[in-house]
Amino acid sequence: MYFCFSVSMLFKQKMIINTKNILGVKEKIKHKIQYNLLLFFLLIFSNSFATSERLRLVLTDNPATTVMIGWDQVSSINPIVYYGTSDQGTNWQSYSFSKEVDRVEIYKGMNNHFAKLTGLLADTNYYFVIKDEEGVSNRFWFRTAPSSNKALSFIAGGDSRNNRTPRQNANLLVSKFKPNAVFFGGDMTAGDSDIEWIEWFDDWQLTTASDGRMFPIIPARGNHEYKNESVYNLFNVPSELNYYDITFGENLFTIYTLNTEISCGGEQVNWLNENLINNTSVWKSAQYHKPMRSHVTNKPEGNDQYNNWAELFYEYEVRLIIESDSHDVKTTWPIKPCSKQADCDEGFIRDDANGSVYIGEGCWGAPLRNSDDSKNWTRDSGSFNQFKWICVSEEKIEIKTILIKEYPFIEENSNTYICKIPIGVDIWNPTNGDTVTIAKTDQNKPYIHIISPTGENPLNNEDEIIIKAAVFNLQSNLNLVSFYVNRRFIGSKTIPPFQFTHNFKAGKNIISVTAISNDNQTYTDNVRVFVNSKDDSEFTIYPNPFSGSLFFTLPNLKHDYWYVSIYTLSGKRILSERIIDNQISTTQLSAGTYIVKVFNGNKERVFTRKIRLYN
Amino acid sequence: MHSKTTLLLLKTSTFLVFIGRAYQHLFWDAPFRSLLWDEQLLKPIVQGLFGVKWHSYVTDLVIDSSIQSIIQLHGILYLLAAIAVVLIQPNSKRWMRIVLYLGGFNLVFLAFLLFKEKSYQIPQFFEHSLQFGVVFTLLYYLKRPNYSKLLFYLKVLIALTFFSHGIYALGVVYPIPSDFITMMLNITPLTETFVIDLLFLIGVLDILLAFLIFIPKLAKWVLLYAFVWGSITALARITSGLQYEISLMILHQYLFESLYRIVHGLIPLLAFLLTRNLSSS
Repeated sequence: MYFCFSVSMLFKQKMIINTKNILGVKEKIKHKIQYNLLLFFLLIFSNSFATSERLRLVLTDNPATTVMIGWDQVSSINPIVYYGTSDQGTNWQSYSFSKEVDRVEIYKGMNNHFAKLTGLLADTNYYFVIKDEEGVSNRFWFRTAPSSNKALSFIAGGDSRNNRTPRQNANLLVSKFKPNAVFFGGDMTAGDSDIEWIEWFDDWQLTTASDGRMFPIIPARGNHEYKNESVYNLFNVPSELNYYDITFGENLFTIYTLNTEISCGGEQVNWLNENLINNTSVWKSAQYHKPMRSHVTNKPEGNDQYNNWAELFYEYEVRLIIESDSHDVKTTWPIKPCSKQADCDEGFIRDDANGSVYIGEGCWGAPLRNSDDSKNWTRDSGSFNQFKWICVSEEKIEIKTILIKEYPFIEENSNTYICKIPIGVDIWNPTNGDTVTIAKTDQNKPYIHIISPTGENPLNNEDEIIIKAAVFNLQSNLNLVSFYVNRRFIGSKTIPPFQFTHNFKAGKNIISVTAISNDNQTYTDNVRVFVNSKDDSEFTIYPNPFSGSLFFTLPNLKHDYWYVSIYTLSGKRILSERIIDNQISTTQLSAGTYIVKVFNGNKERVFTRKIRLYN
Repeated sequence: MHSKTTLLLLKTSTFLVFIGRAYQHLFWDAPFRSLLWDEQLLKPIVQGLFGVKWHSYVTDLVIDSSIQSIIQLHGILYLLAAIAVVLIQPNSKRWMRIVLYLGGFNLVFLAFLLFKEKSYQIPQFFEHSLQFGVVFTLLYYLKRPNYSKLLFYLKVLIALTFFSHGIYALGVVYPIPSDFITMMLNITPLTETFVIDLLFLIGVLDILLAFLIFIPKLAKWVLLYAFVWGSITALARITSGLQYEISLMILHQYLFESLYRIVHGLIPLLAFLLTRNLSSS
């Protein structure tokens, strides 16, 4: 407004000077009219827009019926939100409803206003404008969450500090994905300063779609938010202590937002415990900033979080946990807390039936750390800017990791599709696949798991290899556990220990174990193992000791190649090549004793020998 | 008081600060990234001077590894400084003093980084006064052992450290660090509400202490309290950690934090002994 007035005054001044100097009276009048017309249009222009900026939608209550609108009231007074279910554009008088501001907080250089819209219809589009004394804002809109257990989609991430470019790219992606909500795990800015927050909220406007649709945020506090007030005053979250829960649908999905910047025990864990006891949601999840077990070596372990929350998460089936802070990427297998068991790694062990999946760890728009501290329960890890795309239905949760970068082209999702990946976006596809699936555990199913052999390493052929299995779901009223090798039944057990001894044939073998409950629920686990041949008369290696070249006599397998790897006695591989014409050159080896492993292309046949090289 | 006792307490305090910080820098993390990742501060230098895009700089994992190496180099410096503390005598060679000065100034720099990391909260810098100050008081004492001046310097360092901790414990100007509450919940059977109230009282006592140690009639007893409370709070780190489990991993993560804080008890003890000695003489 001030700018327009100044421009008009300058123009007026110039016009008067020109008129005085050059023109006669008639021209003077003509230019005066033109000036007044210009002023009129400028004033109309300046009065078209309210001075509400840096808008944010926040979920603080039932997302089917309540949405909090927050903004920075840069100037002017008496802003009111006008809203309704039909799009009236900026014609504020035509909206059915209005809402005055509930809370004003001058904080971090912004005049934060909050208006909570309640009594909304579920699964409905709402259009709104903010009108103040100076004008009317652009028209925005949002869609309330469904009140039934319809499928939903979310974006989850955190740490958007110190690297503005990917932060902006990520925010733009939000507008293309169109999630039901964004779970933001803290560390929005680096220094918690006014100017950084203003920039952050400016960048947050990129999450608004081109048609004006806005997507709500559920924020957590990070260690770079130096006080609880940073989150409470800027997002008006339901709790001044920054821990709260939001449930979507009738009871489809609850997200617990927790605070690792205050004591994880004490009142916070009491609250969590009480809430979890009474929660009957199909799916429960949690987000908080600092991970229990960071995947970056030099970061401290989150022992306070682990000791207070890990057991609760497992006991009350919080199946998905979103962590941030470390500026790297991780997904885990389903895990549960443990202490002295074999395979217990930093307090967790795999439990594919009932465990919780932990994902994270930040990188929305942050500098990257080397992901160098994987555990035996880490599914995949990496270092790049990313967020998670989470699709929730009653049957399962599916999680994909989305690469944050500047995309040349993205076809944005329509407003009706849920769980679609916009065309043009890259998904992380690591060794264990691009989708983490959490399926519903049927408490009546007897979830059996083969503990050994694991199939990771070939087994030496022995007369007795023990197959061990365990049932994790002890409520299943187990009837029988049956063992199969290569689809042949080898025996069954009705009581633990569930193990069998078997003589395997050399090569590839498939072990299957099936558990059946009293009410005929079944569950099967499989593992594939390779067994080295004991009777390997088809195979010879000569001469031994050798010098210069090694020669092989090999089984004649059609359409297959043979390979040799040579190791030192300490296990270091020093040579690996394909065997051509049944021989290899060994001139590069020095005198000593080596282990030779010979195998075919699909490793179904593997032979091992110890050989000696003389100079 | 015997000069050997003074030297022993100064050396022990300084050694433990250096050895604790060396362990931290060699095996864990230090807030160098609060400076090296400051986009507002360093972007003009990274892009303008070196011609490297900021995004490339902060997402380059080689650079991240290099930053970690820089941290570890500081750890080696602290280790050398710890060795120099053990060996140094009043008539030792100059290089030992240089190592100690380097170590001391690095500790000041570390305090600055912590201050910057915590959004420039002033107490965050001064609560480390005893840790970096003890190095310079040792060097001062080795050069010219004037007990009155030494006592005054020690009191200033104690006052700054306890005052800063007290400000945080109050929870009025700055939020109470979650560590304070967590440690008390882990070690005692108190509720969180009671702990917060207790910390307020402790904060008041710490702030009072900062002034009362300069009152001659009260100084001795106040310093005795500071010795006891400083030692308790230093050991609280490892004690709290051991409540989670007794393991090498816990010692690895928490013991060094106790080591470099023992100075908060030992220097008040030294000041107490000096005060008692000076008042009796």
